[in-house]
Amino acid sequence: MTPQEMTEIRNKRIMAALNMEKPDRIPINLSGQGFFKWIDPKAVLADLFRNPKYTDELTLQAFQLPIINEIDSAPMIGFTTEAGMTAFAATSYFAKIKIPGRDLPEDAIWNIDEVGPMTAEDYDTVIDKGWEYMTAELYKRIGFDPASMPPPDMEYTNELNAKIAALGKTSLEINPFLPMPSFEVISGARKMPEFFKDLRRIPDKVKAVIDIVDEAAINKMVGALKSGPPCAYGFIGGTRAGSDFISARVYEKYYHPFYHKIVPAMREVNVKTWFHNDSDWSGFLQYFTEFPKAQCIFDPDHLTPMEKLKEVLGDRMCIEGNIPPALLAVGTPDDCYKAARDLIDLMGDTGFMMGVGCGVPVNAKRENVEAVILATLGK
Amino acid sequence: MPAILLGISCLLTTAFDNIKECIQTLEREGLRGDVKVLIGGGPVDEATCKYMGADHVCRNAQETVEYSKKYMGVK
Repeated sequence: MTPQEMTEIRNKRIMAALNMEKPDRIPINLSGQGFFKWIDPKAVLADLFRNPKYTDELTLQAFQLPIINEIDSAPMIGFTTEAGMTAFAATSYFAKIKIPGRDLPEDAIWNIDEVGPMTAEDYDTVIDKGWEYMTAELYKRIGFDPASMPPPDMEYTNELNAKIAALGKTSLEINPFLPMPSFEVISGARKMPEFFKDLRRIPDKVKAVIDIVDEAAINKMVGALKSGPPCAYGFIGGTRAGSDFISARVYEKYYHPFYHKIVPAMREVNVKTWFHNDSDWSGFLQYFTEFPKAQCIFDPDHLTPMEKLKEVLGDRMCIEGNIPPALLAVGTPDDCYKAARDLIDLMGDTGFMMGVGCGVPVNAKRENVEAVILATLGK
Repeated sequence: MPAILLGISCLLTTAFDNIKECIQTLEREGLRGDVKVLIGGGPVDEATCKYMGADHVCRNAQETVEYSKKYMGVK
């Protein structure tokens, strides 16, 4: 079978799961940044930034290992650069980034370093002058200049794309322009402790600003989706709004309106919505039943119980997950095999993709990841 | 008064070994028997609890308070 034929099979398999139809087998979606260590155990996380071409090459080799090569998703390579991660932290949270080997020990994971450049008075600035003005101002305050970012190395990108295509992985495109929920953006801009105090001190101003940011973000996204290359789904991260962290009242007023507006906007341009939601969302899952069947994908970290997801959303959207990442790091292959089989018994083979809560941790043991794959393949 | 409870929070699987070392240090210093070690945070689960040698996994802040009050006999 040629890589192209394999890619077509994988695309069909994943689209069947996303469309709540029965695939030829359960898709295996395992992404993470530490696969390169299986090839060179002496390599450290600082190498992702110091020598990204080397770690990309090792990750490509890891994806060709026996059993590991059954993963349907493409490897996460080609984006972990100092400039790329600086832009990610700045544009997502108005934050800085701490990088291993530069700001952190050699083998530490990169960290988002919140700065909190937005002041309490800036709520009025946003209301008076708009979000675009405020964004430029906040970038200045954290020393981020989007114009000074080096352009992407298209020659290397094309080279990597050809290597990924040769692996026969899925080629379904993810939209890279999706905004973070405005609740998260303002929380980052203010810093989380100040933002949560704002919710009590000046709730109406916070709400007014979130509405303004929602509208600006969604308009920008729709423009990007219409002018960009076609993509199957867009990825929206959610990390600060689980039901064990904020109340239903706060969620309804400040957070869910973003989802309520963005999902129909994405549906209109034929793009599915991939919710990557960390922490425990079990108390808020009923809000997601408003979305049309097979329009969304729910990808929890292991804190949202799969039993609850199956019960509330199992007939509405594809669910991806949810092997506990800790199990891959410190468990045994038998533990991991059993966890994967238990998941399949619970979720069935329709509208489900095998994955790990949040992502495969950088210290996952290869034999544990293999056990998850073998269990999914029924071997 | 010596500590009765020790709560350790963790957000990354790469911190597991440091927490394990912390608990082993309590043992080495003869302090482990007097203190209940609670762990919590995004990636933590029962497998982690066993690996680190902790006593209890708390899924969130509320559960930590409930567990601690019960353990200390606070109503």
